[in-house]
Amino acid sequence: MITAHAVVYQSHGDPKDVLFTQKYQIDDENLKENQVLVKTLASPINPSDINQIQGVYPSKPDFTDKFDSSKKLAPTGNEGLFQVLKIGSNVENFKVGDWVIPKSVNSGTWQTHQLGTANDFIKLPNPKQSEEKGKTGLSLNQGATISVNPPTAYLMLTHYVKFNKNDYFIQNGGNSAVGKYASQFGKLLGINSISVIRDRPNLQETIDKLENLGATHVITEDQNESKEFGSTIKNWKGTGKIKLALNCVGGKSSTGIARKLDPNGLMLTYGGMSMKPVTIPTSLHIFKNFTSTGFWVTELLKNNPELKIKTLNQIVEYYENEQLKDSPSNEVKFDESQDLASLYIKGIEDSKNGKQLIVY
Amino acid sequence: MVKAQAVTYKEHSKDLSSILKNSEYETDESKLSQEEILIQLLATPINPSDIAQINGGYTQAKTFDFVDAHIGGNEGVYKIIKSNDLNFKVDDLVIPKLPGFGTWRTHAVVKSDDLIVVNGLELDQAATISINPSTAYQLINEIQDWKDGDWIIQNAGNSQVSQFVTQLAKLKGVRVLNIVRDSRLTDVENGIRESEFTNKEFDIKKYAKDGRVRLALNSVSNETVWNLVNSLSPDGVLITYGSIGGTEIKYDARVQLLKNIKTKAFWLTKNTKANPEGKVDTVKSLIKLYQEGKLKDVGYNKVKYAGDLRDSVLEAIQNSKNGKQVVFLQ
Repeated sequence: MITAHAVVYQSHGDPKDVLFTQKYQIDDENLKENQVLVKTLASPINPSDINQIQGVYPSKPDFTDKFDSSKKLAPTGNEGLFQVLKIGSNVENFKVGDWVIPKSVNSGTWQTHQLGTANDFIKLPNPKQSEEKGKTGLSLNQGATISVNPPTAYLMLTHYVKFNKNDYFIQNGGNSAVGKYASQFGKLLGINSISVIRDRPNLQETIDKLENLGATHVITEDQNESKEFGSTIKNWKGTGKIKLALNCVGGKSSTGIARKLDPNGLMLTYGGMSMKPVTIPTSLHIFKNFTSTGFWVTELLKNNPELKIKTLNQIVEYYENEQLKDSPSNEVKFDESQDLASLYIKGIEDSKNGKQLIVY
Repeated sequence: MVKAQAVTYKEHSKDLSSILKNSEYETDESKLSQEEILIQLLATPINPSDIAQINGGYTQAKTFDFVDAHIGGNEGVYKIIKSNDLNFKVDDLVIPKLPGFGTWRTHAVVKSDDLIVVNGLELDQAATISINPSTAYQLINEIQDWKDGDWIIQNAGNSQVSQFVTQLAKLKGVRVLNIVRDSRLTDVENGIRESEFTNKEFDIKKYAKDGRVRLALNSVSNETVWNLVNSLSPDGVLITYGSIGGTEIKYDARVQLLKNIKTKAFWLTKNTKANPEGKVDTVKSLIKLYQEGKLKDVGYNKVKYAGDLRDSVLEAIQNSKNGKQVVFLQ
């Protein structure tokens, strides 16, 4: 018997009021033939995890009695990295020691263990397996945060628009996690980029960092909104076209990047629940045949598991070849003496200073 | 020799009465080449895009050598008065195939490829078939797999295009909610006041029940756009078309993201230039619907031509705020 700890809630609300740790038993001696038992290596705190607990996110986990037969509880967390502890007699695609991530959302990653079936997980190479191929192994942070931000950036750049040599995409939120992945993928895929960032005290330092990562050009929101700056961008792009705009900010910033698109351009809106409304000049729509649509990686991949595997394999390859830098997290270590829920509640508070990763 | 008139302009301006001129020219019908056809104007409407074109900044207007100026108008019905092309007979009803024809002229010498024959229509129908019903027809066909009980919502619910959308949708079993300015709610089918629609409490379920709201049509770009987007079902589309109304649209980014809402544009002129045969197909389909009695023309005001085309066009433009105007020469 294994005693597992899970962060759960019985009703929606402010995480610090509703989250608690539920301990429950997993019978690891009697796995069914298709079952896989995993232990958690690390799981991050994403804004959508918090919105789910608050009850304001459209996709929510079911309340289940698997943690405690007397009441219905909902699991927490959607992203995470696990290691296979035990497998049922019929499981062929996983072996003990493999690294895996959840195949779908809402399975609960803020817990020490998970008992699922072979169908619930996707395999990633563990560091030993990568080294055997002569590659660099994934870090815990890379594995635990591979499901949402890197595929969002990669698919927005590859799934909609065909770029030719010299073409561009433009994005706001250029210093966000997705923004940084997009700049890097742009460079790897041969697509030029213009990243818009907020003005800040250490502006030049941030610009240098982003350009080092792979951003072709970095501009400020003031420049994004300025008509005069348009001629600078014209010079940059030369014969290339700006074909895609990635919006995670909304408001005037979205208008600014939309205006820079060449005819028949597309703007994808992605990201958080705190986004400002999108404002689009009608002339753009009508005379430049501009299209705007939403991008939600979970929805896209839910109906397309092959695309998910293909995308993850590509990202793993970039990591193993050290061609891609992960967006760092603040790592917080959990040990059995601590209350797991308290650790995540503190992590949620600290999230305003950057992404938090709980390491087991 | 045929004596002809055209309403012309040489520069772009909002002061229409000072820049629009009546230009007279002559056409020698005895000198038509083998492919040439002489047509005579019967009726020509005023569309908002005509005005926008003269104001400047809409589409480039071409210059006609025989009057050395631009000629206004993009829609009109003509009859053939002389033809050397065996496929086109005198008295055939025709409309120009492409935008930018300069329809505010009493006569034109054209080739067969410039025309769509619209025989069998009533003159009232033929005069306005090219733009409003064609726009409505193509807008609806932006979605191919309509199901019985699906919904369209649209602002400017009593505009000409909107009324054609309502009729054409019904033929597909699709229902339409028409948002109408508070002062204008008259007898529009499924009409709802703008003030009710833009209210925060508005819930589309009250009207559409379990039906899917798949298409929202925006031709005025005002504050109704916010709830047009909110009212769409998952995977719905907001299409913006037309050249009147506000200069921007605004909607909730979270709704777009979570319901996978697409916003895009529709512009008949662009479609026609890119695919003239598509426009011909649209007009032929509409002629069939008119002839089968499935489609009715939407009423408009007629301005009678009294010898000076410029005067008639200016009178019609001035009346335009009261609804659609068509100058009739017959």
